[in-house]
Amino acid sequence: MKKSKMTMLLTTALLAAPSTALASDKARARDAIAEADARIETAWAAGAGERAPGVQGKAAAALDRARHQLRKSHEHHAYYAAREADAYAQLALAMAQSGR
Amino acid sequence: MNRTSLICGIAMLSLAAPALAEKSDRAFVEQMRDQIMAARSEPGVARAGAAELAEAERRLPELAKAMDDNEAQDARATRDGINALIEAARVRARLAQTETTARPAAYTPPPVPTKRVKRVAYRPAKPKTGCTLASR
Repeated sequence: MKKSKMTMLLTTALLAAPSTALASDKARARDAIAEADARIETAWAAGAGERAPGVQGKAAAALDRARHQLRKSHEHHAYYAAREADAYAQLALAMAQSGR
Repeated sequence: MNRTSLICGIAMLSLAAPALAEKSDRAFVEQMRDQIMAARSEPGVARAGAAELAEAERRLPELAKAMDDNEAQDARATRDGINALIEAARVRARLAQTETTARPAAYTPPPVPTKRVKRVAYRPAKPKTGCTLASR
């Protein structure tokens, strides 16, 4: 009886582990997207749309790609694309501030 | 004989290929690290773009992982991100340099020369012979 209980617990844990990992991947991708989105907004507010339209466009495109990947449940790709968007947004922000 | 050597060759190649790929992956990550270091050594970049360069450095393990997983798309995204951050650091350095040159220099008064007083013992002047009030 005790042994079967242990087996059941172990099975539950084994079954739950991948789903927990998936959930954390999704959360990580969502966080990265939110961070990139906020930074792109900041860059827009600083005038990156006028002073660094190319870089700002790259940031927006990477963010779109990240959202698309997340919709397709490709959390890893979504995370990396969001990080790229964040980096481009940082560059756009610096360029906007240097153009003042 | 020929077939055996061919099989052996293929087996050796298949064993060596992942190791070679791993080596080239590591070389690429090191190349990116060198690029960050090179940017850091440029004038003003280490100071003005410290945050961007630190962020770029934090992304190196992500690049290594993407390359280990053979995710070309993710590796490309990370590489582009690192390059963008390095460029952002350079832009920040240029901005800082422009601000320093544009700012008018603050007035600094010229240094006051310190008076040097030579202290000598008092010696009465020697009386001139043949030149007295009485002789005039």
